[in-house]
Amino acid sequence: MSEQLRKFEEPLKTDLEELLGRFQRTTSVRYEDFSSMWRDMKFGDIFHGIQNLKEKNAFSRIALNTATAYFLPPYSFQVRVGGLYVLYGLYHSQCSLPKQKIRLALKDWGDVQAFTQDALSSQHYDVVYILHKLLGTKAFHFTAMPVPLAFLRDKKNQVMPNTEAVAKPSSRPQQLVTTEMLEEVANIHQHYKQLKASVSAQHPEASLNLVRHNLVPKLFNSVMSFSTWQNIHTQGGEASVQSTSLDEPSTSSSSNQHQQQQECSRRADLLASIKARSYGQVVEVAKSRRHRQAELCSAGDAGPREDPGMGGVPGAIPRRRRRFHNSLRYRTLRRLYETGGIPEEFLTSTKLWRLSKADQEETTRAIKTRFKW
Amino acid sequence: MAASNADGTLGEHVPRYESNDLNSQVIHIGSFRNSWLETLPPDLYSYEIKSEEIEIAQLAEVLQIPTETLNELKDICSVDSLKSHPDDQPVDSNVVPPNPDLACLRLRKKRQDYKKTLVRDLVGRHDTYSNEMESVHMGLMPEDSTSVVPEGEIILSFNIVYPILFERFKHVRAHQTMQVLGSQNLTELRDAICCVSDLQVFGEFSNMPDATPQYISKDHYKSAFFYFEGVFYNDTRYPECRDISETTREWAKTRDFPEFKTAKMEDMTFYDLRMKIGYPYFYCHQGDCEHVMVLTDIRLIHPDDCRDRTLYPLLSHKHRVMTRKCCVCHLYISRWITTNDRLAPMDPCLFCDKCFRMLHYDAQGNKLYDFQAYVYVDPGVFN
Repeated sequence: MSEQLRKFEEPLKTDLEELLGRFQRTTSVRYEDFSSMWRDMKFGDIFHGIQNLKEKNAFSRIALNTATAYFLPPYSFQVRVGGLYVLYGLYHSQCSLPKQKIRLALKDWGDVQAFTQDALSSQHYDVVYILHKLLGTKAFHFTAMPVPLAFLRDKKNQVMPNTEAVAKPSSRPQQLVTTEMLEEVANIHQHYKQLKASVSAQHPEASLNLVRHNLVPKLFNSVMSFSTWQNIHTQGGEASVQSTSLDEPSTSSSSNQHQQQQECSRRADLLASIKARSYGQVVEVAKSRRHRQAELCSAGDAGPREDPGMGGVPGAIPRRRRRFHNSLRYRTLRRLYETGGIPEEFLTSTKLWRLSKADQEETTRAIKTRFKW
Repeated sequence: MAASNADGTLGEHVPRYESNDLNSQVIHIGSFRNSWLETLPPDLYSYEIKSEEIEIAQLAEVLQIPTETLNELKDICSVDSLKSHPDDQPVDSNVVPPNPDLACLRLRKKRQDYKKTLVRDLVGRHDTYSNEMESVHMGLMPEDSTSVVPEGEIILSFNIVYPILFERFKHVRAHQTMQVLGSQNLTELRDAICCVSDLQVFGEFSNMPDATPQYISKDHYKSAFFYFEGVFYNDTRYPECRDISETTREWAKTRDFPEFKTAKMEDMTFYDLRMKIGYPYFYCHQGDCEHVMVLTDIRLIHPDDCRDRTLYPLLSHKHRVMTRKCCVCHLYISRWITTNDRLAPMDPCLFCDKCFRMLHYDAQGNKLYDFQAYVYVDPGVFN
């Protein structure tokens, strides 16, 4: 069940990013805008089309877990507001019974509190209202980890989503070099100069000049220039992101990535074409091994077929798909037939209902294709 | 702007991923619960749902806006704003809407179209009731109020994997999921784990098929232990229980492993344990029947969970096992297994009760020829 539903992770991400991308382009955090977009995309129908309840529950869980990621850092405030609205929408549109809950881990609760405070201080009342409403209808499970963990080592490595476009820019230098810190450094620098002057009575030696003279102003200037550069950089990035969707490349660094991706896909295409050419040609074997002629089958062939239609041993011998390993019974029968021990009819089993058919009637097997997602 | 949470600001009892992203680091379960209960206001984890008037009054206080604005807010943000179809045109939610735009709906439509091409689309009888186990316990309240689970209790979910794992079926991890309360003892979990090796009956019964003994292995071999994070928790409730972890501990001493400790299973509740979430641990009973156990989830109790204390540990998921049928009739589940039987098609061979007696005994109950017969308990007995 969960392997089936893993196929839905990609489409879910696509749909959520589409919705959040549209929301981000409006540059607003109002619920009305979001709900009009929700109704427009008919997002509530995402739960339709499932017949049995267990799958409904499992899909709701996956949808809520995927959407919770957009509600937490490192996304920017607007995307987080969008994530909150999405959670509200998904929780109330789900068809499952009991209603599946939104999982909130202990480590993320602090971030949620901070987020509420920000919204309250910026007077975004609809954000706070929606969050309170969700908490009031007991829509959350307060858990230890964001998803239930079962040590599933064979899960394929998931690539971390590229949140650079929507993450807050890092502000570590500004956090380190604050005004208080600068004052303290200036103080210490002053003391140090006085100490140096008092140690050597005359003009201090040049070899003692280990620290810059104007340390504090220089530090301040460099941090200011860094933050202005950051603002210009991200504003330029944000302006172009707003006009396009979340995934499209906008700045020169991401266009480099795009080029690299193109190169990689070109190489992959080349490799694929070489392989296709080599597997497409069947090598003719020596006449002594005529009975074990290689045959080209495509991977999509159905089960044992009545007519061979391709090169190889003449006669109506049913072939098997290359991916399955033939059973011991089949291999024994084949070998016996090839060495001439048993007649051909022994290879296929007689269907009881066909005993009464006329000799001239040929029944073609309806090829039943298995469903693949 | 609040600073992002650096690792130093998080408390030491907050579970985080370990380096491999598969499991969390070691946490103390009782302290984890206390951390949640400290930070959450009590009405968030209580069972009762507040009435609308109280909620509106509280919100007006928090937001500090006039009531007209609040009512306006209520109208804008109501659940009706999410409906894509008006109320008088009900839509069947079991069918994908035509011309879907969303990627998920397109994927589902593929399956729907495929099903339309099938001549017969049968729903398996097990799929009809596949959700039964979860839904029957939803919000269940007990008869008497003394066995209600209090608010703020935590629920742990354990996956207990079936003992024998064939190489061929490794991609399916057959497990049963049990939910336990934090305040319960380890012994309660031990008693609730259903394993077929507990029901085995020993002895050769070809001479007296009617006289099956009253004891099963569960009553005979009572020793068991759990292994969590370097500590062996032994079951010492009965005088027959022995410390079966002793062998492992002594072997470990000779091999350069750190010292393993022991503790009593009946004295420990889950609150006292230190464990990693998502990490495989160990349960051994009957001396050699070994199960891997994984703690998958810890969370606070919710009004929709079962609130009857006597029903915990609760079985919330069980892997269904195919039962082996009698080799004669292929109808009934087999209860006897015979060896050295010259009339049986293979050795060993399974029989149901009726076919067994018909083949091996005459009408008076005399044994007709020489063979060995043992009682067979099918692994699917817990289905």
